[in-house]
Amino acid sequence: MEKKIDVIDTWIRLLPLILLVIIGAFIQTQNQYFLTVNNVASVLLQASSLALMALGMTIVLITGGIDLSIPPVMASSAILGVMFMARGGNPLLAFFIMIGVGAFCGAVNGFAVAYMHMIPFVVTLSMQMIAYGFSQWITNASGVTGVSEIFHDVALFKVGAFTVPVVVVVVMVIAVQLYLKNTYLGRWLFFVGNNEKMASVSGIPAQKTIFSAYVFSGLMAGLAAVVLSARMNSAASTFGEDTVVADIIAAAVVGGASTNGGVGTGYGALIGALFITLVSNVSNMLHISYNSMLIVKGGLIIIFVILDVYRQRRRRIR
Amino acid sequence: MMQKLQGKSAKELLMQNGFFIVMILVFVFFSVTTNNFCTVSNVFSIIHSAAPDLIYAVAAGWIIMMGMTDLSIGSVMYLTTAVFTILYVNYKVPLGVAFAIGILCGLMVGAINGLIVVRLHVNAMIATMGTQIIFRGVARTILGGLPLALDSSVTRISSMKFGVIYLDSIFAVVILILIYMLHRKTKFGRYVTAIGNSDVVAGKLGIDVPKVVFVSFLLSALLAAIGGLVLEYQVAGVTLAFGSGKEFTAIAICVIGGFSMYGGKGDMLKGVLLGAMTLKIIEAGLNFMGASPYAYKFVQGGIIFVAMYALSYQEILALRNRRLQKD
Amino acid sequence: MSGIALEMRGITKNFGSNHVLKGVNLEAHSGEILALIGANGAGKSTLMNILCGLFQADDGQILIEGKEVRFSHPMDAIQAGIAFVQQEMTLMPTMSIMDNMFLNTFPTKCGFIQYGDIKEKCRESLKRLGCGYSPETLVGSLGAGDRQLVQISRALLCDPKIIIFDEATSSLTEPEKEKLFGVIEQLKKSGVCIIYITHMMDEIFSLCQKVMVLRDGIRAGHGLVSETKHDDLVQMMIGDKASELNTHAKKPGNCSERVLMKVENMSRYGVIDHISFELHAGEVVGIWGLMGAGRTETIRCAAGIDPIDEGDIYIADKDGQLKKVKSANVIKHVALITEDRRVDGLALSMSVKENMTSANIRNLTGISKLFIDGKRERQVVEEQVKKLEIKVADIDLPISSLSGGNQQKVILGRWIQKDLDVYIFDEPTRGLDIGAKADVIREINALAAAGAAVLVINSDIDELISVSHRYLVMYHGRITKELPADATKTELMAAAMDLQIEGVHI
Repeated sequence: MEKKIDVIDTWIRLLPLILLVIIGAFIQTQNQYFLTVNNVASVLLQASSLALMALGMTIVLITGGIDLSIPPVMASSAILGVMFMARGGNPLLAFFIMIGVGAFCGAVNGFAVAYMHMIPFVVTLSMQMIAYGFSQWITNASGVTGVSEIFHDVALFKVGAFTVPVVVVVVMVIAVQLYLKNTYLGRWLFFVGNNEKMASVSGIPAQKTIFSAYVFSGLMAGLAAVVLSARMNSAASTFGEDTVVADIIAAAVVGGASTNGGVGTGYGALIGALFITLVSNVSNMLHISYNSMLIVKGGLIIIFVILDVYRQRRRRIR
Repeated sequence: MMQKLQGKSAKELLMQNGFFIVMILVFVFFSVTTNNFCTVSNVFSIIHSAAPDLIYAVAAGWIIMMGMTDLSIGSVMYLTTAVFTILYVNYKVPLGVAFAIGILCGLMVGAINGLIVVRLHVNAMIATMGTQIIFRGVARTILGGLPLALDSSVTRISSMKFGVIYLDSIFAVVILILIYMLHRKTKFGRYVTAIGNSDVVAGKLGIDVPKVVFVSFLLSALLAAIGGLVLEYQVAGVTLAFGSGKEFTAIAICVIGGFSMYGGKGDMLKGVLLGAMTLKIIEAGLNFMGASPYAYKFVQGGIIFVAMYALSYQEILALRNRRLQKD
Repeated sequence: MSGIALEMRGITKNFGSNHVLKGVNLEAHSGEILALIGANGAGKSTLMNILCGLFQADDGQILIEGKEVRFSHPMDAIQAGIAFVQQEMTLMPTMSIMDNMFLNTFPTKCGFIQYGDIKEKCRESLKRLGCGYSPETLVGSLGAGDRQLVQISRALLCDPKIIIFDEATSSLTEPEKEKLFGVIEQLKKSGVCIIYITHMMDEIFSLCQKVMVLRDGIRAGHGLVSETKHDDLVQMMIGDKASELNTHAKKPGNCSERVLMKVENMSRYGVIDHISFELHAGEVVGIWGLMGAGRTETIRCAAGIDPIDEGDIYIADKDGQLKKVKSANVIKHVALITEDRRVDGLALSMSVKENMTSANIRNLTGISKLFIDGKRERQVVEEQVKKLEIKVADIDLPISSLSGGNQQKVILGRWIQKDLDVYIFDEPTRGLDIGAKADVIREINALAAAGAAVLVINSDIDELISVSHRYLVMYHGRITKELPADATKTELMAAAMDLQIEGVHI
């Protein structure tokens, strides 16, 4: 009896991976060049910024919060970094500007949520507006160019068949996975997301832990900004559009993170991001409109959240 | 003792009306720094442009009152206007029928939201985020990804005036008053506030919580649909990004208007008016100053942040005070 | 003498194998106040919950004015004229007094609530309770006493014949209490039958006419208050003296003089007041007191979970030197086993292993000081599982799959592995079966025997006596008395009610 229940649970957990394989196999039947090293590398590159942001979102979701500000924060830091380079700034410094702006915004979010006990949704929503407004304001809602050659070349340097961002994503996924599963700080995140009171009673510094999650999410936004601005050779406020946050949340929940906190993995974020990217690619291939894509993505969010609720309720009944 | 009480209430008054004072100050600031800001016609045109905001903000406010969030408002606005416009413009369906069908489509989204929240126990914010994206896609599909204009013979009604006051401002305020009455004077409205206080205790007292939540999502969708139509009449058509992000503006209005995101606290008339007018005055003022139109969103976000910060600080203080009082 | 308003005959109720009520009889008359008293867990609440339809009795009858009634739903009881003023607040703070009073009985006309009517009614009933507030006042702005009055007026709306007050004064200040007593007197005069549950002796003698004592699910005594003495009541509550003698023959005491933890003048305003105590090595200190005396609040503050407004906490370091510790850091040095496992004891969807090491995981790292040493973690957990005889097939299973007793042992194991000096237990045996209870008690004794200082709250007086070497008795947020190991139940009960009993000798 108990074995059977576990089977259902495992299937739900494996569902994203299965879907990923199915969609990959489907593309392969349509396009025999899909599973070539070069093509896989380009899909991975395409998915890299989404994967980084999904990693940040996953960490925040694990603590039981949500970060709606990731895309516009990413856009703002990309814009600031590129503008800095356009004025002849040092590319390395530009890199740190991007990372720093992301981390700073994350820290503001984290402080408000962890120490002021404000609602994550509203805090990050207002940060989203501030960052989005800022990015539109300074660019007049158009793109900024001037990414320095070195920045571009280093960021897109090929390591074997794969570009640097892909390597960075893989490293980050492994690092996050190790952090979550094998470090005490990662364990703390789960405790806080599962039962914050219990975490406090166990002597876990809940506030610091929550704060760190938002800072990490901001850092990931900064890193994504580096990747995307190098890839696009420019930066624009459209990086931070509303639909991007939907992609991130879709990637995180498809990857198994729970919107109720306490559940999530590093590799799940990667699988989710790849899945969302592939779904977009398929729709391009089949000439499915952007509009229908919205329906699919919204549907994915709802279906996976319902599955998660179903899983948790059953767990509780057990 | 008496003096202490009075002192406290004066401070409370200041706290509670903080944004009202801010609104006045902002108004005065713009009046002084720019020409022609403080004219009767400009004031009424600000109120005119706030009309749709009032209606869809109260839609958000109703859900916030229960301690939940409705992120599908913008998409409901879009879907309703898309269906209405295409029926009326392309298929020559009579105006009234097109209205009805458009609004029905909006209600359908509300019903789906309600069912997902009540039956499938999904967190309202995530559920409505999903439907937001889905129905934006649906509406864009219906419009074929193209903008559609409404004939000025139809939209004329939006710029009609009753004396100096625009007709749609009156319409919006009437709706606010009706919703205010519904909230304050009917069982349904009281139940919504009770659920915002504690759905568990409300259930214990015999309130049918799932039913109230479901009907509330319907009402929210209805208001959003009407708000969408009013907005469409003002801008004379529906564009691709119609209604996009309006749910966030709506939440901003409610937060500035003193709604607690935890639920149970907020004024459907005064609060929504205050929030909407504060934002509109700032928008119009920045406009008058010749600031970039994009600066507005930045300022808007900052204002919500400050409002939230003030609210949570207030709540922390209130909690401490209550404990001290008990002593 | 007025007629019998309520009669309960042979009420029996079992929760599983737990026999809570064993054929209880109760008679109450109109125009009279019946005090219902008993130690924690004697069955008062269960009896009253049956009376107002929340639970159904397994056996027995309820007669109201001579007619037998059956309640399957709280609504039935309300219609039969029974009102229950609960201890917990069931009010909506952001709504007005009148909204709260009429929330489930709004009168409407054409869909609109008849505010004109209910405002009048509300004002009237508030006035009757001596409360001058406007009906539009928000409940959130009222003090605890006035909130209680609002609850009472809600209960009075349907003209009840029987009103039950459950610990109605526990959160009230002195003047608020006086006001409430006035109201109750008035109700009595108007012929209502009142059942008054309380822990406060003085209230029984000043307010009530009759008294009934429950003990372990039976009626231990009843009679006129005027013919009853304090000592009699205490005696009835704790039972015969014979059983007392053998309970504290034992106690493996090896208390030393070494102080491991010291709390000085600790206050949390409005909750606890100038608490001071010391814990010695090898000693089990029992905190005793009745519901609402501030026991849980005290230990939560002492463990640094709730912030304190005043006072200092000292904890002995490895050399035995007392060091002042900031409130927020105390939890790093003491073990806390909380009252309700599900609320703040466990992360229910996480594994047994993870739950067991939650407080110690930082120390279970390898050389890097960051990565968890998986092998060591397993080893530590398995060691505790073995030591505490936890029944679990696989330590990677979710903690929710374990029984209550085993869950409690997991929490115990969480702290024992840290090898701390101070252990604080809040109702460690609540809700456990007899076997698990014995195991937990044994562990407590073992900890003390190994030289730790242990602080225990236990509402089961027998259990408390079986472990404690010393008692701190609390009353109204203060430690009012300290009793030695050989204190009798009578003394403990009297101290908890803040009584000086003559004629009871040690």
